[in-house]
Amino acid sequence: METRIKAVVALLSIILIASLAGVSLYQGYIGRIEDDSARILNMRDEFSALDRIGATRLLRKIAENWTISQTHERGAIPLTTAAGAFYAIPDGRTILAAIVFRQRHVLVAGVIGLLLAVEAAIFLAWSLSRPLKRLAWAFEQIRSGSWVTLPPSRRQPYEVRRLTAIFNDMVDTLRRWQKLERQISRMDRLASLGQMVAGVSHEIRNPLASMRIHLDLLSESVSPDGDESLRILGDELDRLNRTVSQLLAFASPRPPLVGPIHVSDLFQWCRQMLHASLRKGITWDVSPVDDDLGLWGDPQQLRQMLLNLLLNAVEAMPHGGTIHFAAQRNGNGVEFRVSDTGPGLPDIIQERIFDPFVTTKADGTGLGLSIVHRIVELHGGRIEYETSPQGTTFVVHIPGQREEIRQ
Amino acid sequence: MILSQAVGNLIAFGFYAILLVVLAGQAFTWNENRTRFYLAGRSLGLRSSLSTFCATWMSAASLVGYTLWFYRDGYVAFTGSVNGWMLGLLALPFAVTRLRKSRALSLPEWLATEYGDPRLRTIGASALLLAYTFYIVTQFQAFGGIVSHMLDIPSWVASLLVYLFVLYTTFGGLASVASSDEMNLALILVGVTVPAAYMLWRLGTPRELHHAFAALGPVLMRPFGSESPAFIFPMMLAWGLGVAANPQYAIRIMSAGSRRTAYLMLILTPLIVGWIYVCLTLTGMGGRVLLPSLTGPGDDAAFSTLITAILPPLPAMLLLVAVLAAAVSTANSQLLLAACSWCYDLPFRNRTLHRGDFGSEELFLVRNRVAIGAIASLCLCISQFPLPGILSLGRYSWTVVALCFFLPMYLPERYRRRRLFMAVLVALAMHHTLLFLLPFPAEITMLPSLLLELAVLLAGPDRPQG
Repeated sequence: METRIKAVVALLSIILIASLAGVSLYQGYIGRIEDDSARILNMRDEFSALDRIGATRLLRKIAENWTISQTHERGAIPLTTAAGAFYAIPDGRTILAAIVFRQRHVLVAGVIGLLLAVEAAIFLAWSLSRPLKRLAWAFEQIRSGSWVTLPPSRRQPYEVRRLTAIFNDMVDTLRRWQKLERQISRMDRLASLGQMVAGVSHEIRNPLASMRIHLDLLSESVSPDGDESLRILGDELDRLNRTVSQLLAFASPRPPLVGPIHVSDLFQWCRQMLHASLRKGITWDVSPVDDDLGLWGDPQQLRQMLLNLLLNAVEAMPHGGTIHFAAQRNGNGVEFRVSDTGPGLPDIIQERIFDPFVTTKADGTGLGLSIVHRIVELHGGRIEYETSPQGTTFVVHIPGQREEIRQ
Repeated sequence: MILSQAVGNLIAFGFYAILLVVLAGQAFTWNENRTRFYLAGRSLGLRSSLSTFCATWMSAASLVGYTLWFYRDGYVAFTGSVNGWMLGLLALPFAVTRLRKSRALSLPEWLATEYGDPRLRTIGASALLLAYTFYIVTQFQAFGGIVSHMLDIPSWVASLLVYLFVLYTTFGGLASVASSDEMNLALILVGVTVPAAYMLWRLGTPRELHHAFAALGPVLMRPFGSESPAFIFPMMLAWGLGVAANPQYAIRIMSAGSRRTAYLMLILTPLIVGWIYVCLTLTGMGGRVLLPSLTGPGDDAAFSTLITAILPPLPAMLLLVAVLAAAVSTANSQLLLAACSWCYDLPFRNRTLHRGDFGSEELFLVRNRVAIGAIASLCLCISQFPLPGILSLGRYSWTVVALCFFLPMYLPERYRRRRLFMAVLVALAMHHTLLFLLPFPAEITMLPSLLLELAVLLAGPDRPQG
């Protein structure tokens, strides 16, 4: 674009400057010839008494760049001298050179004008190409997966403002569609997963219950040497049972059994449950909670929600760190905040962190945060997170007393 | 003033302007960023690198100054300037590897990175800004003086012309400068070759010309002229150190597409600039033979008197275009570096800008263009005031640059941990003190300052790590 605009402006400038200079030089030339001719004609009689040398001297005196010749040329003025008939002839090249020199300022100004015009053309091209360039950059960003919008500016021309607004609208629409598509896709996946998981879990849970009963019965008849093996077997069965319970809780969630809860009780319970899970090097930083701080919710589900968040934080810091756990009144609800000082969530899973079976841990089920999300939704709340290389913070907002929840 | 010559000169101006507009420089490339703007994306090929290196080398000041110096004093001009410059060129290959190893975009940034001290970037950039501002002023003055004399137009109008040419080619960054330099080098080569050829055609073979020149006075043939070697040697050395440490050349080494290209550029440069000096020498020699005495109020007026007196219109016109091309090619390169120092290297200019983001990057480049316009305008204004001669300002600029960059660029690796900042500061302080207190030229006062810098650097402790 710049090259084209520059070429057009340069060509126009050159044509304009050449035309003006040409006309100016031509007029100067013609004017000079006419003036000289008039002077020569006025003094023609004085040549009659002169020889050729004298006539030449007089002619140079009257008109600087004219010569005497015996041959007739265009524009020649006949002169009669004592030595015979001659012609006064203008020396066109010399006259033109003199005029060019006299009008050198005009020509230098023309060159300056040409340069200024071309430099102005460059900035014109820039002002036209800049919005296109910015738009191309924004499309590039969207193609590479990051959503950007372009800031509108009152200083931009109407066409560019309109283009920017349309682009921003398009980005918003695309984002909404993407979000909707994700939600639909998630719901579809969850529905099919739920059906499958519920069936499988039910089939596993019954044999597990039977195995647990028989294991307890066995413990009375097995020799003391086998106690340790039985204990390990029992622990593994319990772990399997917990996983199956989690799967069931995820697959067929029950509606919350709402009642009044003291947040301090939730904190106390979490502290007790997490005590054994705290590895060496992990510091537990709990902000003091007001004894009166309470909310309406399902105590069992909210405990599971907080426990999952806290376990998630512990697992995010394999080399130690600090877990910050806080709760505070926010409007008519309660806001829970769980932070860790781990390395943050990888970019590739940030969009799908609440989807089931999405995990970065080799031995994780990927259900913990999915269940948290489900419980928050069942309580009509919302969950947000902030992540950076310095750590991750989950913020859960559980709304206050709502009639539909209480009932 | 011969009318046809003046008309020819006017045509030359117009011709150069149209040629520049048609062939050179795109100001706002579609995919520009600061690496493309400062270093042409580190992808200049051999032709572009060689052209921009040689065209930048030949400034209007050196083209006019050397020819006149040779005309007046004979071979001492060759000893004092060309020898020194070539000496500096010999040093540059030793800096290729260390300059290209770094990903820095400017020499002050390289300095700060290599020596681990951000203050070096500030002092390097400040020195560079100061030195190049003065040097651009000399380009405007040299060209303005010559053209105003040749066309009988006011000096500021002639300087305004070169100012516009320089702005036009610099707005596009180094890629635009390099593309205009290809054209400028071609014009310089033609512009110096034709007058030299005319001298040989008119006065005989080079040997005959040499004999005719020698007949004018034995002092012209002495390598040190009427000066003592103790004066000429330091001058030669100072010019050499200035070339070796010149950021313009360092940037061209950094912007070459490969290390091989950089080395080839440095190998081929002496052939081209050597040819230009030979042609200027022949012109200066022939000028002295044809016009033994020359008077003029200054170097620029004397030069224009010389070329209008000894050369026919066409060679004189070509030489004038060569001076214009030399002025533009040097000034645009220096202007770009000065803007880089102001916008990129000086810390208080660069605080809020981030790389990569479209808005920030564009704003950064717009600031660079504004800086280019502002610095060029300032130089144009300063060039209208009476200042010391072209060579004096040139000498001052080169010596300041040499004090800041020579030792850091060529010291062995083991001294990289030394505290360089204090050494540079002490050397600059001493240089300026001697310059203002003693009646010596800058290249003389630079040498003890450089020795002091070396001594402080060697005697000083290592900088703390971490």
